[in-house]
Amino acid sequence: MTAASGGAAADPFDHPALYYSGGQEYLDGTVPFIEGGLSAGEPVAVSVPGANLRLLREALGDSAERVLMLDMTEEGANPGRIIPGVLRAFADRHPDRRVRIIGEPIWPGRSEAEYPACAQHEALINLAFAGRDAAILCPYDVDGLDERALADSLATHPALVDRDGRRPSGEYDPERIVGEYNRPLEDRPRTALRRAVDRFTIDNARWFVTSYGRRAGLTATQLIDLEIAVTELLTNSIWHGGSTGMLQIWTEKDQLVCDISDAGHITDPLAGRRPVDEDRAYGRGLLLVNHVVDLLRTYTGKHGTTMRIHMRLPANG
Amino acid sequence: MAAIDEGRRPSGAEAPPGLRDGPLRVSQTAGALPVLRASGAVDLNGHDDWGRALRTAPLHDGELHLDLTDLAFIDMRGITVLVDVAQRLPEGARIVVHRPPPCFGRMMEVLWPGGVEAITVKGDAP
Repeated sequence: MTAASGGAAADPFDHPALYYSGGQEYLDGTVPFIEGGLSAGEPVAVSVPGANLRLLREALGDSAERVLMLDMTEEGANPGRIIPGVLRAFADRHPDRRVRIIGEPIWPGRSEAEYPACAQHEALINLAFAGRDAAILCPYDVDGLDERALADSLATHPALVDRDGRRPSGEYDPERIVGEYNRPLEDRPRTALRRAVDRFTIDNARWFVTSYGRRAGLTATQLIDLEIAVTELLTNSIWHGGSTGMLQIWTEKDQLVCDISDAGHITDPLAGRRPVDEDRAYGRGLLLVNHVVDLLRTYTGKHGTTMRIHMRLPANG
Repeated sequence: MAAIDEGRRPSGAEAPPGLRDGPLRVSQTAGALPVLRASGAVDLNGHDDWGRALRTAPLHDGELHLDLTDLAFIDMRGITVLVDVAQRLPEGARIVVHRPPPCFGRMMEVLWPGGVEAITVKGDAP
């Protein structure tokens, strides 16, 4: 199996999907990609779920010390955090070098709530890295993932690699995926608490959500993160979304969920995914939210915008 | 985790007196070490006052001391203004931030993980 050793002629950015079945195919597809990078003197990072991280560590032996190894289930639990917090964070540390990254953001345990943001993330990598001297290889577990995830990967990756080799994707269309998964979010439960917030009530809203979060069992650190996230989302609503945000908050299963709706329309798909120095205030607020929540979901259009955050409740909370 | 118990919901629309962050208040102390003190919250209602206070505060031996002991909250724009002012200080000068609220450290860690050279954070009062 030949992984992403060569990129497209015009754009130095290479973003293939790697389809694997079982540990051996995983290693056959990823280890040559890593070792090729190391022998070419290119910085290499790996961000994959824990079990695959362990597999790679073992296979790489001493070479693993020269690779930045991250657990994607921690670093990339929120898909919106992966581009700024993992991929660009690494690539930008090596501005004059070609970098190689293995990123596995979609694994069989991803929830229905997370999946649309995962697919959009895969699509947006192409936009975020266009023209960059980088290769990002994305493994897909063909045994564990459903047909939807595999079909979407054909649209989010310009090239595909499997045990038979490498070929271009005939269905590459990342914009379609960004649009298709910009969907109305599920209905809120009847228990959701709801209140309108404007600039005169934003400090009261902070008190309200942290009181709710404390009662729901969030940790002290999570309460800080909730206060930060809600403030930034409301601030965006007040400045850019018609001066009022409708805040709703509830708990479901093991999560606290809070969403904020307003009259604005986010037209920049990379808002909140650029490094801090490149984004304007609106995107910088979203960047912060992406970093501190477990999941950020968005539905935006001319009708308005809903941003929904999820925070995991501690097990015995 | 069960849904929030109906009877324990925050019932009123308003935070009880004393629990709201309150508006931003900034004052400049005199004395051997001038200190800029802020209380309340830096959010969209206080960005202008916050920026003005930071830009006009005098440096003492190349340092601007900020006492945030009584500041309940600062948002991303508030921190961005602070970083911007710090980065425009003359070479070698710095802002010393005393006892910032917990959200301050969290936001700095996320947005400026390498730190900002012209900002020093201290856990004690000036």
